[in-house]
Amino acid sequence: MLISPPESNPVISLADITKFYGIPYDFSGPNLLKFLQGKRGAFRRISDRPALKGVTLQVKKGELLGVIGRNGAGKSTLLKVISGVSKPNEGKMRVSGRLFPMIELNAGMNPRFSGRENVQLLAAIMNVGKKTIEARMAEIEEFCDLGDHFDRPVRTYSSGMPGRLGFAVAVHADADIVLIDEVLAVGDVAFRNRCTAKMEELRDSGKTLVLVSHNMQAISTLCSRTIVLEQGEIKFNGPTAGAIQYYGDLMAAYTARKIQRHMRRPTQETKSDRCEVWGLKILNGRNEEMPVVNPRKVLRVIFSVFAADGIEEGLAFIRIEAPDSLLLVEERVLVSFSNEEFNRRLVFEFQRGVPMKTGRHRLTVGILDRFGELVLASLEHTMDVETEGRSAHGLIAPLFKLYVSDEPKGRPRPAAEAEKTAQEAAG
Amino acid sequence: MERQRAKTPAPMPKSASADFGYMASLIFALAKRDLTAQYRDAAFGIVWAILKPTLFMMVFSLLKGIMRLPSEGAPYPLFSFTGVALWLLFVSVMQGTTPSIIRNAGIIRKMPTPRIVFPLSGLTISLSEFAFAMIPLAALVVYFDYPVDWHALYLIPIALITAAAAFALALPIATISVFKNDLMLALPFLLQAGLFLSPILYPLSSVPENYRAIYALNPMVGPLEGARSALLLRQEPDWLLFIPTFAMIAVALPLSLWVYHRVSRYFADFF
Repeated sequence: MLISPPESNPVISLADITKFYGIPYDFSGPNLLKFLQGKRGAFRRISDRPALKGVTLQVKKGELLGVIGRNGAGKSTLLKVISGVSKPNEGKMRVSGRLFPMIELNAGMNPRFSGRENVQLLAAIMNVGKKTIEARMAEIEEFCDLGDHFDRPVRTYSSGMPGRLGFAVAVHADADIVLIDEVLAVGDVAFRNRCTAKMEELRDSGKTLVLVSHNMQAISTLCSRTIVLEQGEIKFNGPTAGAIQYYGDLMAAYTARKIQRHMRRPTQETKSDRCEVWGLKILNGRNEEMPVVNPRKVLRVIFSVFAADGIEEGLAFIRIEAPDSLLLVEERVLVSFSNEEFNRRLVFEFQRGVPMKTGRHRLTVGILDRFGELVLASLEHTMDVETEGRSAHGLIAPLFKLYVSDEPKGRPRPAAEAEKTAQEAAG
Repeated sequence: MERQRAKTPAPMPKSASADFGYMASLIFALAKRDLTAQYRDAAFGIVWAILKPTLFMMVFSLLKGIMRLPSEGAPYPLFSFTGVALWLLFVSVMQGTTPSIIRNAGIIRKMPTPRIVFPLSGLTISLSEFAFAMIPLAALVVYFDYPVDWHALYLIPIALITAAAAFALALPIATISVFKNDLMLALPFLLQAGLFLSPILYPLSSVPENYRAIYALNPMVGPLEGARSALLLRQEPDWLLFIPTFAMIAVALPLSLWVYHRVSRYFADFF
């Protein structure tokens, strides 16, 4: 088989795709009047907001593209357009090869059919030949790992189980392009891991995959390139780490706006409960400012607090959020302001550092009321973190060392030898 | 900036023959799914396809005991069963096709399948149910020891004509129902009215002479009368009565197929 180099023609190519939902015609009164006046294109509907706006995207053979974005950002619409389910209103597109859209999993299943019969049905819907599917049935059955549920009606399945059938058919259908929408949300850890492994296998065998997910962990392990969709536009198209960072910033800005709207109610701000926070600095152990934080070293976060006369006490808090908006640290400490004006600098000191990974974190400090319900004042800051020369893949990057220690007693024996010993012992 | 109109993507099979094979197997798979959904959990299963026209025939035979219903010399159960079987084919096409798009919303939303397979799978189910209804019809012929000849074979083309006419009527209703479901709500009433306004319980000859021309505009008159004259009178069907039926197939069917083709691209936007 000829494996084309990655620079070759893209398998999926979208140019300036715009998609409005609904029929692009409107036969209502005003347009009818226009038509009677003999205006051309009278019934053309002018839509308010496009679901996709000027999307240009190319995906090459053997690529696993990640798609992230908020709900309603246009991720599923993008898959619908690529799969040909939904027609774009403007733009040009080309998709070459056989495509299997797993936009959602339970499409067209009959709950009274058994798992096996539904696999056959899905195969018929997706134009996978009868022989192909019979030949791979054993493989699919094993992949689903449903045990004897495989031959029982789907209506008896628990909620996570039908999705397995769809995914199994999709990845065994010999399609050139597979579109996957949030499959990792279903199934238990063992099944998710099998899915991940299968997707890697498909990618490595030259298939093209587009994966929509809210699971940043999965996106970052599977995809080398990821796009961020926001309000129907591609806002970021590049390396996954950058995409996750961008998406995190986007979410952070969104959350910040919401916090401002919902938590800081200016109606409460009388003179007596005036509280301010300013002058945030990120310092190291020698009280020098750090433009880039080393997570292994002492971290001091210093900020100034003013609390007006009348506020007895408050909760000083600090929050650190990872680039993918995951909350890493949130600490609250009750601070007594005594009963007069309070004007001091507060310092949060992490003597052993915070085991953060490389990337732009978000740091928030501030004062909550004593019940922790109302933000009296808060201040946000970005914090760039750089771990020295190693890249952590987990949630945190703790301090550790790897030693080469002394020689163990004996060596592992080859398998055959071990078996022989076991037989001897049994005999 | 100049923008080009998008071409409808054609992601599915390349060759026409492969396309046909795919569509045929898909129609079959969907029909099998829906038939199973209907009958698997019913105690009598597929026997219901036989029971339905039989029960109708029994009710009509009871009616016959109350009022005067002519049957042109044939035993009334045989007379009414022939009409009921054909009428139920019409009803079944109407009721099976109109919700077929909404019933398959799950697939339409996600899979780039040819859209025409959904109404066609409904049509397939209706025709197979009609085939089952031929079993009790044959039983009645044997029971009454009624003489039939080769004219009975006309039942096959007449059934296909009936199905085509019903499909021509059902397809636009199905299309419109995706957006506004008024017609689907009106359908049960229209079908009940049709049961009495078609020559099922009675022959066309019992309709008063001066109303007969208007009455015969009903596209079911031709097939019903034709089926009975072929089976029971051993005669060539009166093709003149088929004019409204053929007109509907010739005009409404291509038109509704064209509209369906245009509009079905946007179905996915509505589910």
